[in-house]
Order: sequence, then C-alpha cells, then structure tokens
Amino acid sequence: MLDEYVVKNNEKTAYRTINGEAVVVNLKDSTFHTLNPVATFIWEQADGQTKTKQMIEKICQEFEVDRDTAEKDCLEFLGELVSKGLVVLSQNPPEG
Amino acid sequence: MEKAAQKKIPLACHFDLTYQCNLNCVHCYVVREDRTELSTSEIRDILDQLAKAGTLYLTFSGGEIFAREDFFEIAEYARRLHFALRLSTNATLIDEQVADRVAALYPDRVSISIYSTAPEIHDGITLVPGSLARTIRAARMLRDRKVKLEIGSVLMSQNINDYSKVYELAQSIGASFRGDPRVTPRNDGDPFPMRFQINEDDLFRVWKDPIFSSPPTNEPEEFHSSKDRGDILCGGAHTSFYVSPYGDIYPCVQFPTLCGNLRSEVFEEIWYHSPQMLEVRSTLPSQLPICSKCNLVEHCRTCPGLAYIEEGDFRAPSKTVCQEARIISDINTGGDA
Repeated sequence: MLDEYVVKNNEKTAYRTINGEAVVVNLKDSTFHTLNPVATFIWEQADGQTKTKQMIEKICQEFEVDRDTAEKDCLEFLGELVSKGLVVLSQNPPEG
Repeated sequence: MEKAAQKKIPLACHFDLTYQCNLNCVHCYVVREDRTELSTSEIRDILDQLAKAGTLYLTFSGGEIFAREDFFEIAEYARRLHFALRLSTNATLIDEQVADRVAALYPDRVSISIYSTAPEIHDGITLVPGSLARTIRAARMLRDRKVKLEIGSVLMSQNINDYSKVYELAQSIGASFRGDPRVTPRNDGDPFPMRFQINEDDLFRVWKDPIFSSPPTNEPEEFHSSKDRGDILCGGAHTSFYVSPYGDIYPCVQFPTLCGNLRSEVFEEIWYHSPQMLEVRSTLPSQLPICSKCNLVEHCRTCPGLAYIEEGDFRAPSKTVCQEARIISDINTGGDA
C-alpha cells in the first residue's frame, strides 16, 4: 500500500524554508524548485522515518481538511517531489 | 529570484575562505592583509548565521580553498546545513583522495580556472610551472566522479587566441565554459592587472563569438541583463553578498565597500541595518547621474563594484563597463569593429 511507504529527502539536495515556503535545489541537475505550503509541509516531514500514512494524518490536522482531501493532496505532491528527484520512497525505514 | 530581491533575502554568498594560494596569477585582484584569517570555529558560527538568514547558494573561493587544512571540515559542515555548495579552485591540490571527498559533498558546481591549453601560456599566467597539467588531471578525476564542472577563463592579452581551445577542452570533459574578457584592478585600486586587458578589436571579436552570446543557465540567483534587474543595480546587497577571510562583509567580492565585520557583528544586523549596505541597496538605476541618461543602458553589464574600484564612487560610470557596452551595442545593432 502506498501509504505504508517511508519518505526521505534526497540527500543530493540543498534547501531552505523561508516564510513557510521551501526552496529546494536538486544538486543532480541544479534545478531550483519552490514548494507550496502543502508540499513544504511534506518536505519537512520527509525525515526517513515518517510513513505516508502518518503524513496524511498530519496534513489533516495542520490544514484542517478531511482525510480524502489530505490523501489526494499528499499523494499528488509526493508524486511531484519524486518525479523531480527531491524525495525518495522506500518500503521500510532504516533500522535503529 | 524576483521574490528574493523584493524581500531582500540574502540568497547567495561568495565566501573567500583564505587569500593564501599556491599559485601567483598575474591578474589576481586579491589583496592580502596583515590580519589573521577566520578560524574553523568562527567559520562554522558564520555558516550557522547565514543558514538562519536564508542563504542557500554558498560559493567557497579564495585564494585557493584547498590550501586550508580544515577545508573539508568546513565544507562538510556546510552541507549538513543544506547549502548548495559551489567551489572555485585552481584544482592543482586535488589528488584521488581529495577528488573522492569533493564528490561526496555533492557540490552544485566546481569551477576550475584554465587560461590556455598551452602549458607555456597557462603556466606563464599562474607563474607556477606544471600547474596546467595538474589542473587538467584533477578536472578529469572530478569528471570521472560525475562532479559538475565549469571551466573558467579570464581572457587576457596573453591567452586571447586560446579561448576556443579551452572551450573545446571543457566540452571534451563534459564541463560548461565561462569566459570573461573583463580584467579588473586589484581590490585596493592598484591598476597593475589592467596591463593584461585585451584591446577593443579583440573585445569586439570575443563578444561577437557565439561561445559568449548565451547567458549561463541554471543560475537562478543571478540577473542576466539590465531588464531582468528591474529597479536594482545588481544582485549585490539585494540577494547576494561577499565574506572575506577576515570576516569583512561587502556587497560583492569586487565591490569592497566595507559593510561590517562578522567578528564583531551579527550577520543579519549587517545585512539589514548596515548604513553602507543600505546605501547600495537603496540606490536605484534612475538615480545614477550619468548612467541613467545613457543610451547604451540596454547593452550595459553594469557593475557598481567596478565603478567603486576605478572611480571611488559606485554611482559613477566604469570605463571598463562603458567600453564593453559600446562594443556590445555595435554588435547588437549590426555594426563592425
């Protein structure tokens, strides 16, 4: 199930969060990305331990939206972040 | 970029870690002082401050960065703070082990200076025999480790006929090429390097060459033309700044108007409240007494720093920039040299 995946920021990135917006540089191709508030929230949760299921729950709370909306937004933005090479998904978190 | 400029976010920093260098390039603008350079812990503290202020792009340069024994301690700390790291180096101190460590930093770019593919010309500029061979060997090591490379070449009277070969060398190793025909005085105003400036005919030839006609890509923190800049003179003091090995802050590496020192002041205090920084930031292009009335403005690569070094006044026209603008205007309007 997609919501059991763990999300981690790609280590080959550089970033800052300024006024609630994350700006991320993909160091592989030097592309520059500005993330909207939901994508920024996902980016900040992508610590290599948090599962997408937990992210969806946090989005519900943070943005006061229903679960279906949170899941749709989360998976949509995750898809974008993965396609841009900014985050990686794995099925199991690292040990320890 | 425009948002960063509107909010005055200090997005890009050029940080000279040292003025020590193992080469002795004849055109170098660096002026060493009888002061102690920043320690490792001082630099770490500065990097913490810059990260907190929003700086994202961090260029480490010098002097020669690998002349500092603590370079990798500093660079690895910078990466832990998630800076996009760019390194400027002559590469002569890079061996296989150093190349491995550079690759592990995932730098956004490594810029290497090559002045000619002819050893007698390149080494005649660096004044160190064998430097070209060491530089090219190191560039290939980095290329083999998939490090993104840029070959930079200042065009001077000694090497003006070689830049196309340097460009071909860059292409052969998968590097981008940045050539610059602008030679500048030393940062204390000493005009010594200007004797190497190429003549107008060669300047015309260079600016007409397609190698120089496209602006660099993937440079979100730079403005490419006066139209991009809108109502600001240049990125210095708006979105970019310079830190010297002594902790001095300038708007730009070649705009040596002292805005503060990080040994005695906090970065954000200097960036947002230094009188010198505010004076540069508040000056509009329309307020330049001579340049605002000039009909060459759309062809002009304005540089208030160069005006400051040449004329002592950043609002004055720079002779070097004016000459360029006339040539670029001639080219753009279909004129001949």
